[in-house]
Amino acid sequence: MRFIGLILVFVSLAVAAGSNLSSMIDLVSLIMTLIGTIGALLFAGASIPSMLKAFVSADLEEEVKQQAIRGWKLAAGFSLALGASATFIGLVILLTNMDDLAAIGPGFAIANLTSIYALIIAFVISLPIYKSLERNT
Amino acid sequence: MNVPRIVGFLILITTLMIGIGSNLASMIDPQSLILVIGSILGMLLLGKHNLGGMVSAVFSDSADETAVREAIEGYKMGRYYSMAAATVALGLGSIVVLRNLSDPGSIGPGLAIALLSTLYALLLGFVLFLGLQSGLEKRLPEPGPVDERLVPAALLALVFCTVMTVAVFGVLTASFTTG
Repeated sequence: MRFIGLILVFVSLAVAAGSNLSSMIDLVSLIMTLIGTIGALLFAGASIPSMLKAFVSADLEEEVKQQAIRGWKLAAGFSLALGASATFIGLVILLTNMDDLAAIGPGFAIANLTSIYALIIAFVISLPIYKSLERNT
Repeated sequence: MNVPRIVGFLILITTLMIGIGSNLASMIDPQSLILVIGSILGMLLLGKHNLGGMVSAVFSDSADETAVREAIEGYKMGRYYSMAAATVALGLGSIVVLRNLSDPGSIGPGLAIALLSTLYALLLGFVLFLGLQSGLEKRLPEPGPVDERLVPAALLALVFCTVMTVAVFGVLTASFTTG
């Protein structure tokens, strides 16, 4: 069921983006939020295997479940924080290159898309997962 | 500190560097660095946190439980103080910008400084301190739940910087239309 939900979310986001879908995808912003969050989770010592295990299977040992709740909560916090940081990085790139129009585009893309990606990771993916895990304890 | 955690830290730095790219020089501002790091350290010292113990608990695996708990409390408070430092720094920065509104050329760099101190505070508080705190909590016999206020606080930071984005574009539009 989780996979259906995930697919439904992304399909509805893609439908809303419509023909502008290609401008919603920016590799640098995606790296900064997604890979950055994974790096931060590793740094925080969160157990990524148990997070994935909690995503795919329903019956879990208590310890794995606690680790997964912890991990997904930290993922929400880290992705929001990295999204905010990346937005500021994008704004600074934008502001320091005001005279160079070619540099404004990438800065603008980082500033706006990272916050969208961070919100998606935190509130569309992490929040439902850790809330459902907490409900089952 | 074990190998996966160091790898995670390197991944984190690399992804930030990918985003920054060739603009690294404009991301470093000594004034904001002093403001943020100095005020966080000052607030930690004011709160009588043991800074040496906080650092040594991270790197030595032999630290006893009370020392680890003390260090966790220190990093947690460091996260709160970083939010305070960010707000103060942003206020100071915006005053500098607003005072120089008559000179459109100085608005961009001034705003960049106001934003950089908030960026440093966010990275320090919500990435470095949170990561260290969570890593230390794993060494306790009972880790306990993640702070309930973590996600709302991080959301607040994101909403705040979205508002800043809108404000920056407002100022830029004003400076383009008047100048």
